[in-house]
Amino acid sequence: MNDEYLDKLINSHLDDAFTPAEQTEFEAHLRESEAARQRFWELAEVHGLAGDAARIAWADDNLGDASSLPLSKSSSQAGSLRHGRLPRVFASPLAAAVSGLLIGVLSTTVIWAATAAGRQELITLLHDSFESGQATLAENLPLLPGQWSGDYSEVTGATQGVTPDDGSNMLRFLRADHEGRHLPESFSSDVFRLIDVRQHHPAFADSEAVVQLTARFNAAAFPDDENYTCTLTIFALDESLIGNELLRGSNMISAESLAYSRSSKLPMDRDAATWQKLSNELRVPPETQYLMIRLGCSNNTKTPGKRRDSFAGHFADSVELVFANRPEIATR
Amino acid sequence: MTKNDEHLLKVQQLFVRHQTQLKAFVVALSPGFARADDVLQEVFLTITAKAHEFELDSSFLAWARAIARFKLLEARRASDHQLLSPEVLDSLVASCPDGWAGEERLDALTVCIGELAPKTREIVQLRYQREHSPTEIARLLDRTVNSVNVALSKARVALRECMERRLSGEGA
Repeated sequence: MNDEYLDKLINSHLDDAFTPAEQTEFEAHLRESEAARQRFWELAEVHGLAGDAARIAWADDNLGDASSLPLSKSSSQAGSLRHGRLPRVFASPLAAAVSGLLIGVLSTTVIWAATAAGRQELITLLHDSFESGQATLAENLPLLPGQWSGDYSEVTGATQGVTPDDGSNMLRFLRADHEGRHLPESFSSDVFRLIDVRQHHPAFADSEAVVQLTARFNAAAFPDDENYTCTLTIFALDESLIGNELLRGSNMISAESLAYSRSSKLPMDRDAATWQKLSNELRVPPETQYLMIRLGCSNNTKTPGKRRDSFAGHFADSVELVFANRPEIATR
Repeated sequence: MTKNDEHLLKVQQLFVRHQTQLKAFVVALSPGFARADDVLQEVFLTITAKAHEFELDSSFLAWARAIARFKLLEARRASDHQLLSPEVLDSLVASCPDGWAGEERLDALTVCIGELAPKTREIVQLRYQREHSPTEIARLLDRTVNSVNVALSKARVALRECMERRLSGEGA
């Protein structure tokens, strides 16, 4: 048997495209030949790793350009369910804690959660721990997917006694204003990210789609007379708003969004050793094509005359946006 | 947290750390990404249930692969689909090279995949990012299934060669 024919058989196995006769032949070769087994592992290694490699190599395409790939209606949802850097974590109750340990997850993942009631599919639309090191922009909210932008912020490593929650990087809020707009009276630093969810659009058709945004916040020690809170906001947008500068107008995104939801305000503690978790949810309108998420940190200090537009040591990390189908609460 | 809980958490952390390798192992031996997902999920659940049997100073990967092998055999019994026979499965598992699908190899493959030419990239994206079958890719791209199979085969061989070049320092 020549190498080319063995490769063909191996490739047929990997693509699940055997005829019964080919399978028999393939197995016979593997039984008899150590060289054939070694060749199998060579090609199977590429096959087994290519999913993760592709998602890392084309991380931006997970939420952006990949949407332009041909995608049949019937397979669009199934296809999207298959994304994942560390694609599937299988969660038992304790394994929920494990999911927080997914180090270096840069892009879309899928989590299948095994629950007592059965298995619920979770599609992770974003899992970012800022490990790419990509700088954030201070250009007001982003007009295109794939980039953190908003008020002045930076991606940093451990600093001021605060260690990243996940990996070696985290987001640091710096100021309550952005390039070209000095706002000394502002007291909230907001960082946004736009996420293209058009590929999941069929899944939003019924009223059961719910997205959940989770992030962790921390602060270096701050004076007793200062108070800070964090919030998470999710905006559902349709395509007509994307790339439109008008969206950057004051409160324009909340006015123009299909729906939005802001979390409760999480008071930041003074323990730099612990990260505080905050979550928010939004039931996704069927027309939703993009989601904008906002991480906010506010200086709520009431001391008269004290400037509140800069942040000495306030951080976010482990941002995760997932969606799942969950029925509405039944009422009469 | 009790000692048992701490031990369980450590075992689950090991699973997360080795998940890429385990997933590649299962995907290689159980064609069809959805089927491999199911198997890997069962592996995780078994690892969780049997965590107390695992000694932290022993090889997690070897233990997890043994569980994966068992789950693959279970899947074979439960499926009417043609999966590898137990004898062949065992001979393959026994010959799996050391370091197979490790992080360094994933890094090399990631670089190689990022360098693919546009047409090959499109097919590789559809196969591995979208997880379409060759038949679906052929329909989406209006090509024959055979031409897609040939393109995928060539891509895998090219990626393998590129990966080896990078790991040997030639293409770095």
